[in-house]
Amino acid sequence: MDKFVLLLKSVLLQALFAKDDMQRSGFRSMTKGAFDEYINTNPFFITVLAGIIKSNPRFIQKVRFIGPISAMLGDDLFWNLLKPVTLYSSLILFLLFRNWILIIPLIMYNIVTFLLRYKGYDYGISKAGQIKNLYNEWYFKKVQKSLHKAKVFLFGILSVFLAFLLIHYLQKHILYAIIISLILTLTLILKSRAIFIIGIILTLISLAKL
Amino acid sequence: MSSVLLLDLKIVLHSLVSEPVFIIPLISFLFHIEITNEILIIIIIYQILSAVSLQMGKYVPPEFSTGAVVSFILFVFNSTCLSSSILMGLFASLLMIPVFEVKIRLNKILGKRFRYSLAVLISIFISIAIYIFVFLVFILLSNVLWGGLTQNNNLVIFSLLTLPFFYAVRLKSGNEPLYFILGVTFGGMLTWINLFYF
Repeated sequence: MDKFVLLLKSVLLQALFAKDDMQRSGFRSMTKGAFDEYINTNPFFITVLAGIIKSNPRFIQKVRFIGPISAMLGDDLFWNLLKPVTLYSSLILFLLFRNWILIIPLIMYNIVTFLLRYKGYDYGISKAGQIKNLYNEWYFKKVQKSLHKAKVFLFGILSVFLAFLLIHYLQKHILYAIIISLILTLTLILKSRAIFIIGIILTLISLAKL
Repeated sequence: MSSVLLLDLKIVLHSLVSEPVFIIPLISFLFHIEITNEILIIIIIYQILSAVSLQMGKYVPPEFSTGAVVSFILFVFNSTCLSSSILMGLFASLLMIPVFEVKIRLNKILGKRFRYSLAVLISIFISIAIYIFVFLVFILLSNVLWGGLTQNNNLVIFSLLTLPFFYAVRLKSGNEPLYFILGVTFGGMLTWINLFYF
């Protein structure tokens, strides 16, 4: 029951997010007042930190130490990698099938994050002594590299679909095909996605001619 | 309903339901709106922007999901043209930066003055009110700004205002061009198969 209540509280963690104290109010409620100071972490790792406090209320120094590390790890893993991979996959599935199959990546993402939130409490309690090794856990190391490759790969697929959609929308005019090819080439040469997105806007602007 | 779904973005849950690729098809489904190519373009543009704008630490990025919903509402329910809808959506995304800054200052006061559960409830209600207010403001603004302009003027304004915006957005450089090329090749193959065999 405790774990379930913590899970619910972790869902509401960011509701009182403040610039000076970050997630202080939410975490204070999760630890029943045992930790009441500035804390910066990723919302998906908050139950791990709550578990550390639960295992020994004197482990405040450990939480101060692991908070920013879990923030860096979680932000990179979830916001920078898993989120774009989920969103690109869903978008590609939606463009291909135009039905509710797009929710499959969303469900998988939520299973992973909710499992982490639910199991994180036990992990925090059992590994409170060696919590500094959190960053070295094999699943974080292995998953990070492959997710990065998957992200770039999926973005490549998405670019083709987008180029095709735009050409189709712009009545298959050859000029637009040339513009899009130029933009894709520049994207590859300059290794920047900004050019690509600017290209989308330029192409939209050219709608004026139609 | 959109404002409730958008709470997922920064306030509660973080389940990605508020992302343009999910929220727009969901609203379209509930209101029986057919997803046209124009709506797809709104989804794709905002989804790419939303996927690359990350809230890390104290940095508050533009809320592209809110922008997508504003664009969608303007395009579908207010009959604003596509380019103007996208432009208004981009402004809405940018507007959410200072609005969210004020909101998180307010959160600190709420956290100190009220019990935790009450403070969370008030925070959620304030967020819903903010989203509804933003939607209404942009619907009204859209009617005032674009009402007297022709389609061409709309697009000129659109081009002038959106380009600096896109330069300003901080996008990470792709450091894996090989995987990008692989993706492009695979996407090309899928498109080719889709075109010629189905």
